[in-house]
Amino acid sequence: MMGDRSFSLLALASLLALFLFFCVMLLSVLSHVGPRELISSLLSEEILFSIRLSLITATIATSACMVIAIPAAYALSRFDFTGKKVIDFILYLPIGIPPVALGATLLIFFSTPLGRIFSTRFVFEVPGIILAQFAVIGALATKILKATFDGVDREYESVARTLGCTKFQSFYKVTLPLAKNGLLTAATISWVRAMGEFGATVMLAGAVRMKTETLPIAIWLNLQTADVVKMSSAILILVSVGLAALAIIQKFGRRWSAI
Amino acid sequence: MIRVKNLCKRLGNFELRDINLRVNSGEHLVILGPIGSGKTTLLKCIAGIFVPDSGTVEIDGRDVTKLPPEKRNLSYVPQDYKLFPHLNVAENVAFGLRVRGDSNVEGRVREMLELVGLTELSSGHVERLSEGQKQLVAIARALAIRPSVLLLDEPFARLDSVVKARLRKKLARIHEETETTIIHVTHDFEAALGLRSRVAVMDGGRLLQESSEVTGYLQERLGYIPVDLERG
Repeated sequence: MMGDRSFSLLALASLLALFLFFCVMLLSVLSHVGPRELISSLLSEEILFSIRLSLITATIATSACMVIAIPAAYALSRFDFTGKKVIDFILYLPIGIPPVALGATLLIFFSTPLGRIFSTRFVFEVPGIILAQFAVIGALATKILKATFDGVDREYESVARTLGCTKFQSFYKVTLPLAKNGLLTAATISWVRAMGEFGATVMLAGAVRMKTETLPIAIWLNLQTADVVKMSSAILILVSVGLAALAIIQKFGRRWSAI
Repeated sequence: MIRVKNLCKRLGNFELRDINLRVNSGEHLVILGPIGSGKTTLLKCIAGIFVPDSGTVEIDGRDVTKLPPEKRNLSYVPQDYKLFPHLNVAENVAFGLRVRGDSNVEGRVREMLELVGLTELSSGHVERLSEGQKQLVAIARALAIRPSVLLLDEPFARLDSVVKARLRKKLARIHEETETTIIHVTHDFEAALGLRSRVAVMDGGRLLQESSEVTGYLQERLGYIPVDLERG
């Protein structure tokens, strides 16, 4: 039998090992690039293009995703209808299957008669990046938002209704403000996930330098040409974005925990 | 006046059976009953939060059975008040008035906070109020819209005995001053008595209203008939 002290030590040792594992990985990236090289690489035309393209596409994909995911998650949380369990189950699929498979699915769709109507706008084009990012984050955001709406007691809406609100008014005057923590979390996680999206993007939009070159694709392209400095710069930018997002979620998560 | 005719509502294994009820304008009806007897379900059917399986609900002679809650002109105060935590005290009281486009929101909010004696807390955060203060803010918010009927679900359930006694007096005074029709459900027999109100009893989804039925039920449950009821 494991004693209390041994169990505590094992748990703490596991935590320390995991922490060190990630620290060593990050430090190994930094060891390949000095401050001067990093700045010069960050200011290179290619990396600036990647940053700009990633920011634009991730922001558009996240905005579109939130516009659809908020009402969709509300419907899943509040309404009872035939086929709800099937829809709920299907929405787990994009979370469970690899993004590269999702991207391949999109590519196959654009080879069908219906898909061919739109294929020139999406396949190997920038809108394809946005669509690929949307495909990856849409279900994720809906799931986070559904959990958020589930956590807002329906009785608030009942009270709002008796005070004169229509269903829609009770949604935006009461439920949405009470769900703001979850909304911010869903938007931030989706945006970060979209910024780092590679698999679906490379399948649908390809990896064309200075055209569909988002930051993850810049990492991959520079790996192909063994440009470790540029690759490291792109990695560090994505790590910084991830850390900033985590800080936002933790800061506002604490501030709004009472609500 | 509120009138419920032959109302039935099934929720899982529970069924509200053939409820008939009449509450006159300005009357304060207390429905006593154990937890799980169907009191809240009845209130929610009257409020329009639940749609009854059969039967009708009339408010001031108008059949509102198929109307959504916002078109019934009544207010519902749930057991845990459900004050909106993103709004302060005054904003909570003003909520219904703003939704309805009232022309004198500030004046009415002031009037309601004076009625419940919480004027000095108007800009306070609702999460920082005591349980008794939260209940009073919820009542002020509910009365602000001048409802035909005020529905109170277990208003004393979360209060200690001292606050409960104080709030009971305050509720009686508010009822006298506003003359609002009140339907008030509770499992707390002692807290409900002394409100100078008509008493009905609900148990197992059935409503007992006749004086002899009510006194018989209370005699069986409590072992005595409360003085208020003996006096009639």
